[in-house]
Amino acid sequence: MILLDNVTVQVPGWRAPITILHNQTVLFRKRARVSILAPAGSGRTTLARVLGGVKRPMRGRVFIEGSVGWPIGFSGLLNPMLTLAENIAHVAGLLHVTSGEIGAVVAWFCDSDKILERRVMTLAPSERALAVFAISLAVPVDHLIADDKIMVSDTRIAARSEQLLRRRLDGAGLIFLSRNAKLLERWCDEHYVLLNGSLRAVADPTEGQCLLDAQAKTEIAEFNDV
Amino acid sequence: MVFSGASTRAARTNIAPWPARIATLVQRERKTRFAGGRLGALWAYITPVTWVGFVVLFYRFTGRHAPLDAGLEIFVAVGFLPYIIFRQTITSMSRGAISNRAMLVIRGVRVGDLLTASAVQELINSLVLMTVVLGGISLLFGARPPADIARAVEGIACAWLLGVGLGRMLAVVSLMSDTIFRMIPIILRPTFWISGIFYTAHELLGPIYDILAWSPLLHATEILREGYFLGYRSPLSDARFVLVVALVPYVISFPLEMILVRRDVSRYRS
Repeated sequence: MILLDNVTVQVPGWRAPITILHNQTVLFRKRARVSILAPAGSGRTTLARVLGGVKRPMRGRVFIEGSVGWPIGFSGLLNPMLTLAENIAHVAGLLHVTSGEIGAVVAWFCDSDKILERRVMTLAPSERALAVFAISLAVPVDHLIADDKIMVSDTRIAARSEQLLRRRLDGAGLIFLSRNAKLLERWCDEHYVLLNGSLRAVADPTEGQCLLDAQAKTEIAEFNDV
Repeated sequence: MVFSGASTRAARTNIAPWPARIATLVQRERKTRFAGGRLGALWAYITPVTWVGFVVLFYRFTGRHAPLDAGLEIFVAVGFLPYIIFRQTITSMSRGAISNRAMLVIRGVRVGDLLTASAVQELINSLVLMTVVLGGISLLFGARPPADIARAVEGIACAWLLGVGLGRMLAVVSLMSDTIFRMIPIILRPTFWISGIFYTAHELLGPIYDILAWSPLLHATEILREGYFLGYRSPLSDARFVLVVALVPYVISFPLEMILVRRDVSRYRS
């Protein structure tokens, strides 16, 4: 369960802080698969960090029951100068699991044991993407967070990445933030749209997209009037 | 495949306890700092040894002698070590906080953990550096071993604590401001001259003595000299003064860290 209790999230702006969420109270139930439709530049990554418990909101509180992963496919954890195995050992050490557990998932996912001994800087971008995807899903958590990326784009691996993701979703919740309404609809069954600092519940992401389009038209009209 | 038994249930909390977290981050810091080159971690020792070598050569060319009853090499090395440790601690804490900031995406890892890991790694480096440099000089040039090892370690600890205090504050501010990060070498430049590398407290006269008496780094250097050279006593070797000076920026760094985290004023997008 993740509860946003009267939460306001802001990021520093050029002249004044930019509000991403304003006084929002929302409950994401245990094992719920929640989509948040949010356009580019609306604060999706910041909101993912708040929901992941790594950023404090400006006001209000975030209650997280259970464990939360970092955004699926987040690549920043890999140091390019180290081998994949060394990077995995560090992630495993911080998560208090054995590196073998993560390494086995990565080796299976990448279809190679040898990849673990290679320096990250020698990996092709596609290999790196596979590795970070597998690392982010290697340890089971109660809540998965996806910030725009939820699957690897490599069609050869698509079936395997779906298998891994579905396995991890077994008994876990998902909060998926994206601007892609179709993808959100595929993976989630509760839907929200991030609109003017509020998380508005909608029937499906298509309805959310209509609201975003209507808002964009209004803003363009106001701009033209000025 | 592969999914191990543990994968069937979610971990209740997915973060290691603090000591394990710090140990992991220290290991990462050790592996990444000098990763890539063939000489690797040897650079931690090559740089200071080269510095000491240059200063010894400078002394020889200018015909200067050590002001104590000790070899020139050991006098210069003992004078240099606190400065090097102080400076390397500040630099590595500032860089470590920036280069490892991506680890903050793992829930439970905090900025303070990154800084503590850098500081611990630098303490280990300092003790090894002290052993390697001073031991090497003793072997190569027949210098006497330290007269009072505890006092010598106290001097090294003072230099490290000064580095940790100032380093923590500068590292937190560096996460907010690129300007401050780039200014760190400029800010540290004068400390080279006030750390007592080239002189002892006994050689200082009048107003210069009065001014340099406020240099905590000079106190650390003199404490190390007292521990190393038999019978050497300095008027400027107050460990409590060094501790207080180290504590001030250390304490200030905590509210700064709160501002950094709560107001999200980091210059980096996580």
